[in-house]
Amino acid sequence: MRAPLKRPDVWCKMALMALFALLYAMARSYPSESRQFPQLIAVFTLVVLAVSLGRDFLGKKASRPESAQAGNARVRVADEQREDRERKKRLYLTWGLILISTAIGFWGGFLITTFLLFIGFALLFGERKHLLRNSLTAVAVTAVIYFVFEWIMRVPLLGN
Amino acid sequence: MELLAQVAASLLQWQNLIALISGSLFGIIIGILPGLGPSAGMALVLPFVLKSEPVTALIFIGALYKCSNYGGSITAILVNTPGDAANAATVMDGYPLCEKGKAGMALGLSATGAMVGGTIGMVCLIFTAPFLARFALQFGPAEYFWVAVIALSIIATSSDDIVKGIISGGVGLMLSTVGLDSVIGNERFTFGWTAVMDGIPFIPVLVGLFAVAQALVLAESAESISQIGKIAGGFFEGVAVYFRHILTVVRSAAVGLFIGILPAAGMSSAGLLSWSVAKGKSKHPETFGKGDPEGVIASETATNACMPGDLVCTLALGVPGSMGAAIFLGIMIALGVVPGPLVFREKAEIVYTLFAALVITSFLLFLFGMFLSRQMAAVTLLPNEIIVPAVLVISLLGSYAVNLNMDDVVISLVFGAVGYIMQKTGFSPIPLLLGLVLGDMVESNYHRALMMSRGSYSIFFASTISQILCVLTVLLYAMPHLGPLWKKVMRG
Repeated sequence: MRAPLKRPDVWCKMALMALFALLYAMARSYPSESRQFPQLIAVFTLVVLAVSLGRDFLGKKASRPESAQAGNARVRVADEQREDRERKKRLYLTWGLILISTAIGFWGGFLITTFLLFIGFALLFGERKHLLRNSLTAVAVTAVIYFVFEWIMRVPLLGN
Repeated sequence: MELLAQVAASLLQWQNLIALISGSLFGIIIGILPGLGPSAGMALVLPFVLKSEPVTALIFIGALYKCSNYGGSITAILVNTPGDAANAATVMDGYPLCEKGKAGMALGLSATGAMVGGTIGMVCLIFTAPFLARFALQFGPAEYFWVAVIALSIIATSSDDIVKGIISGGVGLMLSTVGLDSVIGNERFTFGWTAVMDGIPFIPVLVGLFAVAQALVLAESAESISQIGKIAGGFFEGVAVYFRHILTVVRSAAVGLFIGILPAAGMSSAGLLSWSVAKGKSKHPETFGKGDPEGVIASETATNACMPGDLVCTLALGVPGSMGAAIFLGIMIALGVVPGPLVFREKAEIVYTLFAALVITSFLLFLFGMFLSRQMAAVTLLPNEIIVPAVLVISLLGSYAVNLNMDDVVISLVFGAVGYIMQKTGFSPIPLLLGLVLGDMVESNYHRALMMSRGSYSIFFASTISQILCVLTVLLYAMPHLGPLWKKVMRG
C-alpha cells in the first residue's frame, strides 16, 4: 500500500469531506423541512468518509521491495513514468480541444463544435499518413450530423 | 377470446407494423449512441408520435424503449458506455469481453438475453398484471422510501469497494437536493445558476459520467478499444454460451420479474442485483468483472425481464420504475391513456396490443442483433482519433438536444471530469447516478411518511412490507462481513 497522502483517492475523500461540511453549514440557513434531508445525508456521508480515511491512515504500511529486484523495479518505474507523462499530455490536449470547440459552439452553434472536435483529434492524435482519411471523415460526419439532427429531428445546430 | 382477436387485428394493421419495426430500429440506433438512452430517444420523437393514433404511438414508443435498452447494452459492451443506467451492469463483464476481442460473442449473449428475458417477462406479466397491480397498491410512502433505500443499498454494496460505493451514493443523494425542494419549494445549493434551479438534469449527468469520462479515458491511449486488434468470438458462439447457463437465466429472469413489479425500482437495480446474485452463486466469482459471460447473461436477462414489470407499475399505478418509464408515462397521459388500476379494463385493447407488440419486439431485436452485430462490433476496431470525437459529439449532442440548451453541455463536461476522476480513484459512478435519480423519491416519501405519522419515525417500521424491506437493507450491508465470520465459525 502506498503512503496515504500519495494516493489520489485519499485526496478525493478529503476534498469530499470539506465539500460535505460546507454543504452542511450552508443548509443551516434553510427552513427546517428543507434542510433536514441534505443535513442527514451530509452527516451520514461525513461519518463514512471519516471511517474510510481512518482506515486509510491507520492501515498496514507497505513493505520495501527486495534489494535483488530493485534494479528491475527502477526500470519499470521509469517506463511507467514515461507512459504516465504521455497519457497526461494526451489528456490535457483533449481537454484543451473540448473546451475550445465548446466555447466556439456557444457562439457559432453545435455543428462547428462537431467539425472542430473531429478535425482537431485528426490533427493532434492521428497519423500523418491518415490525415486525408481523417479530414474526410470529419467532413462526412459533420454532414451526417447536420442532416439527421437539423433536418430530420429539427434540432438547431447553427447560430448561438 | 374476443379481446385476443381484437389485439391481433389491431397489431396487424400496416401502420402498427411499420411503427413496430421502425420503433425497434430507431430504438437500437438511439441506444447505440452513447448518452442517448431511451429517455432522450423518446423525448426526441415526441413531436412526431403525439400526432399519431394512441395505439400506433404507444407501439412505436414501446418498441423504441425496449430496443434502446438493447442498443444501450451494445454501447456498454463496445465502448464501455451504457446508453442508460439500466445497462450499467452489462458494462462490468461486457466491456472486458470486448477488450479480449470477444465483442461478437458478448453481443450474441446480450441479444439472446434481451430476447429470452423480455419474452419471459412479457408472458408472465400479461397473465399476472392485474393481480400485481392490486398488490402494489399496498405501498405507502414508508414502503416507497424503503424501496428507494434498498435499491441504493444494492448498488452501493455491489461495488468493488463497498465504502466507496456508499460515498458515491451519498454524493448522488446530495446532488439530488440541488434546486427547488419538493416539500416547500425552497432553493438549495444552486449558487444562483438558473440551469440547475429545477434540479441537476439527469441526462447531461449520465452523458458526462459515462460517455465524456469514457472518451477522456480512450483519448489517453493511442490504441483502438479492442486491445488485440480484431473481433474474435462470433454472435452464435454467444447464443450457444447463453443456453449453457440455463440456471443463471432462470435465476436472473426471476430477479428481473421481482424487481420489475416493485414500484419505482427500475431496470438498473434489476441488472445489478442479478449480476451480484450470479457472482455470489458462481464457483469462480473472481472472474466476474473481468469478462465472465455469465455476468452479461445475468444483467441482460434480468433487465429485459424487468422492463415489462416496470411498465406494469407505470400502467397500473402511474409509478415509473425508471427515467424511461417516466417519459413513457408522460406520453401515455398526453395520448389520453390515463394510467391506473382501471386501465387494464377500460383500455384493454390498447394495453394488450402494446404487450403483444413488445413480445414481438423481443424477437425482432434478436434478428437485428444477429444481422448487424458484426458491423456494430467493427466500431471497436476504429482508431481512437475517430472514436473519441464521435463519442463526444454524439453524447454531447444528446445532452444538448433534449432542452436545446448549451448549459446542459457544460453540465456534461463538468460531470465528465467528475466521472474521469471517479474512474481513476476507484469510485463507481453508478451509485452516484442512482442517488441522483432516487434522491427526490427518498426525500418526498420520507417527509410524506412523517407527515402521515405526525412526526413519529415508527411509521417506517409499521407495516410488514416495511419491516421486510428494512431487514433486507440491513442484511445487504451485513452480508459481506457475516459471510467470512460464518465460514470462520464453521471451521471452528
